[in-house]
Amino acid sequence: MDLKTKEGMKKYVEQVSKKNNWILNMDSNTFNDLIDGLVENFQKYGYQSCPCRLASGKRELDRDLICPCDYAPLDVKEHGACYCNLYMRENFYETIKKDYIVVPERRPIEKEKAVLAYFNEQNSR
Amino acid sequence: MFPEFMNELFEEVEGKKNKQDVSIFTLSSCMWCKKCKAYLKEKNVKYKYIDVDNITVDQKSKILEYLRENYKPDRIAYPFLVCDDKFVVGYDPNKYEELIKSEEK
Repeated sequence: MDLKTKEGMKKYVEQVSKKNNWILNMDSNTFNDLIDGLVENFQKYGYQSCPCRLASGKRELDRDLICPCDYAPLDVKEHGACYCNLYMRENFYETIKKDYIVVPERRPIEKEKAVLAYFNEQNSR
Repeated sequence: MFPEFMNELFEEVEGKKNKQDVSIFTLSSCMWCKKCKAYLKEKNVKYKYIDVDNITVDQKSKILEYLRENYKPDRIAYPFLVCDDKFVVGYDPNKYEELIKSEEK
């Protein structure tokens, strides 16, 4: 599966959604935007970092953001969708009755601060 | 309003509603940021943006520090919209509408 390509990334997210009993976003524009973002991030960083969050580029700091991110299972369970709305609960469209839902950020603030500290450290070199 | 180094990075998008200074800090890969840009375009709001993922680490560092120091948000998420002296973290069309309405008074 070549995650550098759109087709490969689509197959990957299909596998992830099946494995977790989730569905994928059914809005084709949104879905394609998200796939493009994942491919772009894979090409840029070497891993499929969440397209809706700022990656540091340092794998160790971004590990929790690699799609599916660490927060997706709980977000899908509690809100009906992951932060990006790529993965959704099977009954999302029947129960939420909207095309999308804004999911609050669950990533610990310390991780965001660590990324900023990393940028500052790189900047001071 | 913003430091000179930031002004050089902004891309401008024209719109008829131009009385307020609307700026957004976005990620090129982010679906919410695309929705925010589409919302502003649909409402015909003039705005400028920086795709924070497409700039240097040095610029990222300076911009994130600037946003933290000036607006003191609980956290920085994208899109980060600044309208004059107010800001909205994340995609929130209801809050955008409140800010845009204030221009029409």
